[in-house]
Amino acid sequence: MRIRVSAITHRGLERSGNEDCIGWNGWSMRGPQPGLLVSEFEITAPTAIVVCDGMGGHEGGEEASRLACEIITDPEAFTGVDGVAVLDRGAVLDQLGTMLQNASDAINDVGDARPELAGMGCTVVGVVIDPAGHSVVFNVGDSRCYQVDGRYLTQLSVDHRQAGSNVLQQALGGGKRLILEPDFFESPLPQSPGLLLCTDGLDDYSDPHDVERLALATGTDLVTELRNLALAGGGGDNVTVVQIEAVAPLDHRADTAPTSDANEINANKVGTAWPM
Amino acid sequence: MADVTRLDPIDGPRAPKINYTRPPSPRTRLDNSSAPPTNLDGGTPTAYLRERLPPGLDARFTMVRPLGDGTEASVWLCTDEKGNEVAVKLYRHEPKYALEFGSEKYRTHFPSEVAVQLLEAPGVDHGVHYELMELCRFGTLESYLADRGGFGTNKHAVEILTQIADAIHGMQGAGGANRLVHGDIKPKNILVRTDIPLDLVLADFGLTVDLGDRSRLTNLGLGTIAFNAPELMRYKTTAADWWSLGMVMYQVLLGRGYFQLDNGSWIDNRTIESHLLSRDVSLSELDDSKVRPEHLKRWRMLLAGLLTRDPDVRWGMNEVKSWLDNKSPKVHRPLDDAARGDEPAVGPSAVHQASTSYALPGVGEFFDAAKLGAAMSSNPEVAARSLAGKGRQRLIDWLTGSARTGETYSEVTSHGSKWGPDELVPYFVARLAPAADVIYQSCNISTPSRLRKLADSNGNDDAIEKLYDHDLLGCINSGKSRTSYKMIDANWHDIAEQAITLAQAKNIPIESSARSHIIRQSLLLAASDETVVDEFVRQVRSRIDGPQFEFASETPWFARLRSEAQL
Repeated sequence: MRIRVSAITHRGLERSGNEDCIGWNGWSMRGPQPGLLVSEFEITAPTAIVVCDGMGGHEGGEEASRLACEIITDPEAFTGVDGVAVLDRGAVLDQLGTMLQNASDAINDVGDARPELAGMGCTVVGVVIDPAGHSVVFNVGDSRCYQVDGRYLTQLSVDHRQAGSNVLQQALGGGKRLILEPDFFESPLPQSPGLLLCTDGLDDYSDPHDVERLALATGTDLVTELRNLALAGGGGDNVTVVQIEAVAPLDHRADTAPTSDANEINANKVGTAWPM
Repeated sequence: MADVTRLDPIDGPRAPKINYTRPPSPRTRLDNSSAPPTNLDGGTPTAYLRERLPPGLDARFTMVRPLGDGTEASVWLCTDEKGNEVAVKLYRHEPKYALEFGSEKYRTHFPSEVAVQLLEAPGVDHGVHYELMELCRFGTLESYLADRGGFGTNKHAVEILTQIADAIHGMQGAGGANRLVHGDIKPKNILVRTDIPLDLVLADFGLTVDLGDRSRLTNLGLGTIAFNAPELMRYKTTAADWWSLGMVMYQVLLGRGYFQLDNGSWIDNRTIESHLLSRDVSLSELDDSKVRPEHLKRWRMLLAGLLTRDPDVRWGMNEVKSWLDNKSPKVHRPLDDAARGDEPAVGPSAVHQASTSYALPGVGEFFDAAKLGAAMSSNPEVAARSLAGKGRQRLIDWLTGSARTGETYSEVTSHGSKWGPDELVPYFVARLAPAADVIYQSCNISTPSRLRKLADSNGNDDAIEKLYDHDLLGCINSGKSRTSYKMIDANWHDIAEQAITLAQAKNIPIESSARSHIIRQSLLLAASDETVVDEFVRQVRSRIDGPQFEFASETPWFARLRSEAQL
């Protein structure tokens, strides 16, 4: 299974820092306003990619989302004691639930130990993809996952947020010792435009019709377009968008030249890619 | 700047579970686990069970077994050091008390013959609010009836009524100036202190309010909706408790709650509220109950009197007393459904079609699968959007689990990701509302003649090709007019594939426009009868044999085609 990941994040136009964070393979990545990051790679074991939105003050929010990204995407998370990748879907779900709870507890532990971080927490939305191309979307909090289905953009995540307010019903950490109730959705990982993971900095500062229009348009640099949409809508919050799409194996493509689309983007706009 | 997102789970409608000590153990319940939970905050109730007494209580009591577990608290049978049994109620949150324990008002409204007795003032132990209560050995009225397989004799049912009515009357203040409303009377909140003689008392006063000399108090939909009076959605009155008595007696007489389904589950709150606001409670099922025919009329009168939606004319203690004296107080609603004449019977027999509603945003909520199908037919765009992503499984879950249509909709699974929302809409319309128009890509495909019209018209190439590629026709073969659709679809694919195969065999280039043309014409043939097909072939032969196509003979493959067509 080969996938392409495109990611972008921005602190927005009103916040001094960026408490959003992108996690993959044990990495946590953010920046005030970094450029587009694109990478293609093979999935050889269940792999988690997440977006977290920190809360609890500037420092606490950054720390919580960083911790969550690194814990939930631990590269060893889906490796059994025998060193073999866990592929059973039930086992993957169980392990995912454990990772989320561990992340929440760890954030609370750090918050309890360091008064300046007390009460810190974060949302998480992510996907675990297995080598067969099966994906499990999961979320805690109000960060979202979208997918295009036919002519429509549809939300796969469930907002754990009180209607009409920004009060969350559950999150990772947050100073509350909770047993999390994440929401899950299983489906084959779709091809372009794939899955979109995003923080509420996109949803709160853009018209859903505009998001859908961009997602349905082909040939666009979607994540950058969506970031720009949020900024144009006021950019009142940190905004992060990650696009994950299934791509054809290199040897199945008409164009198998070394310079794939993704690499072109890397070369032209980023200059660096995620580890392959 | 945007508000900072915050976490406030306690106030949220999905209050999370708190792990007090150890991982949860299997629950033992005294009550029927199907009982609808009390709605304390308007949100989804959450399962909860403490497994250990807080330290202060732990030093005084030994836990024996759980007696009940609700959204508000869990209740445990405990023994003290002398072996005396008590019921210990452990609250999840700080409870509110309408009256101060031990006060004069408290003693007036909660005497022993009315309410379960607290053995000491409610306390707090290491942050856990608790009550020590007398142990009512026979459990709740709900479990008591379940254990005995019903109410037994008519005399026993009357005794149950008398006991509860007296308890409500006493709790409310026995006609005095100061009045209380219990606010959550249901079989689960009525305890059986003794069996013979029967002694019933009220319990769980978490929603009880002191009206004082007011006639009513604002309420926010609290309580157990299935037993709530209609006005409880807005305000509390003493009359509300008498409605609840009516609902309790309905359950006593029929063996299940009015809004309870045959499988023991309860109809969702929104549906119940909708019914309460718009219709009278139907008493038609009383005829099928264990009530003996000679008593039916009296019980019907009682239930109608108590289950009167207007609280101002609803029966209270005076009318119940009269009824018990074999008098016939005036009832301010029809006694049976037929007398109403304006609406069909409601209640389980009428709402069995779906226990929960299915919403089409901007269109409406549906309890009837056929009406939903018709609405999808009229609003294909809205329907398609609602079926995107998780929507398809949500609808299938509703149809199979709630509306219980008896179908599995296996085609949705077998076509998997090939079908998108635009394909799902005509599929479900055809399944749910066979008489409704089936629209696909803005084209009407309801009947063979509509298919012919589609194939014979200009444009709509994209729609026709998608219809072909998605194998949709064979899956919408419902209704009298579409019985032939499976055959049409099979023939359509056969004709088109033969044509394309033939062309490939003869090295005739098939570009996308040619494929589109073949598919269109194949549909016309497949959807037509022999006469139409013969006429079509005659017209084609005539056309390509005509002088306007002479120049085409210079194209080798066309010349071969003319030759093979024996022109």
